[in-house]
This record gives sequence, C-alpha cells and structure tokens, in this order.
Amino acid sequence: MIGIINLLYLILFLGLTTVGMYVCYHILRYSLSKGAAFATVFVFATVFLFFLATNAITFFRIDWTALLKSSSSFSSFPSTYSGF
Amino acid sequence: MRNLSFVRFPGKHEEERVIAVYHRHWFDIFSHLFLSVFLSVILLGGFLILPGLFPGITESPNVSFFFFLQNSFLLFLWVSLFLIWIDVYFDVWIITNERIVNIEQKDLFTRRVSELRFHTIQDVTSEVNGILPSILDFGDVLVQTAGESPRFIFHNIPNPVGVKDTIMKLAERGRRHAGTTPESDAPAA
Repeated sequence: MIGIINLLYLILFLGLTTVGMYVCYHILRYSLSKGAAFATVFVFATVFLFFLATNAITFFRIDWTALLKSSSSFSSFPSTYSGF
Repeated sequence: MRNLSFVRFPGKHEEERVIAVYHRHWFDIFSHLFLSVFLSVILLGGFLILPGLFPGITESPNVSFFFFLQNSFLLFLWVSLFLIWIDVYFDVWIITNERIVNIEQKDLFTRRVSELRFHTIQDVTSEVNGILPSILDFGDVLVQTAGESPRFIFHNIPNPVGVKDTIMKLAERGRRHAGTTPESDAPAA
C-alpha cells in the first residue's frame, strides 16, 4: 500500500515539475520584454520551488503506517461498536 | 511617447518600429483569476478554522498529513494562477509602423499569430458593453478588412476609442502610401 502511495506521489511530483518547467519556458519564450520575463520567472520559480520542496518534505514526514492504521480503525468503528 | 524598442515578437522586421502594445484590461485578467483567488481565500480560512473544529487533525500522525494537504493545495493554486495568467495575459495586440500583429494564446499548447497590413483596413469599430466596462473604459475593437479575411478583434483592451482612432489614422496613412482607397479594396459586387 505504501509502495503505491509513493509511486502516485512520484507521478504527481514529476507532473508538477514538468508543468512548472513549462510555465517558465513559456514566459521566457513568449514574453515581449526579456527583463519582465526574467523577473516573472524569478517570482514564479522561487515560490514554486519552495512549495515543491516543502511538499516533498511534508510527504516523507507522514507516518503512513500509523495513519492508515488509525483511519482503518476509524472506518471499522461502527462494526466494533455493534459488537458490544 | 513610450519607448517600446525592447518589445520583441516572432517575425519582427529589422527596421520595424513598435508604436503600441495592448494586453487585455486588468479587470478582464482579474475576472479570469477570480475563482482561483476566491478558492485561496476559502482555503486559508479553512486552514485557520479546521484545527479549532477538529482538534484531532493537529495530533500525530494526522498533523503531518494535514500539513501535506495544505501545502499541496497552495502548490496547485500557485501553478493554476500562473496557467490562467499565461492564457489571458499572453493575448497581445501589437501596432507597428507597418502592420498590426495579433498573438492569441488559445490554451497552454495552442498559439495563433496573425497580422494585418494597414492599407487593407476598411472599417474600425469600438465596442464597450456593460456597466463595468463603461466605468473602467475597456472593450473590443473590431477591424474589418477587404476581401475574405476574417475580422480582427482586440478583446477587452483599455481605451478602445483611442485605439480605434490610432488604427484609423494609421490605416489612412497606409492607404495613402499604397495608393488605394477603402472602396477600391472592396471586392466587386
């Protein structure tokens, strides 16, 4: 299960990185002014890389085993309760 | 007059001089971004309120997952804001001393560049529809050309009446240079 989650996150991470690179390419390639293009890319890339890095850090900090265990015990709560 | 020598676009000639560049009006750009801005406000409000309503999400192991979700939403919002902005802001109309160039960003992977020579212009119309466009002074400028070529439309640009006047003057000059009149350009009935 954790392997699948990691694989899904890898796809998401690569997808976001591709979109981010495309946005930078698009701004640099098609802006009418070079100065404005570099300034815009700087703003976009700084915030984007910050969010992307913190996203990866927070993802790998998640204790998936404990989280899945707690969520599965939560979902089986009614049947446990009816057993009383 | 603004110095626009820094402006570069595909197919620009060596001696071509840029007279004016028009993007969509800021209100039109903002209206496209409104949904994303609105969602980000809701999201930030949710981040502040949710831990109060559900104290369980601030306890381990849920807290890391909650931070991850927060961060993912912000990341998606940041990227979507730029994708929408690219789609809208990169629609541009450039008036040079030779022609009008329209660069239209249809979507992320579709881009159309078309141009119009001044001597082919037959008629120019400006259109301001609605209360907000009237107050903020933005609207469309429609340029009708001779022959079968489609109308050229400047979408939601600022000061449409002024732009129309500029195009009319340049069209008049272009026709004088080409030695034509609007009537002689028109297809025979």
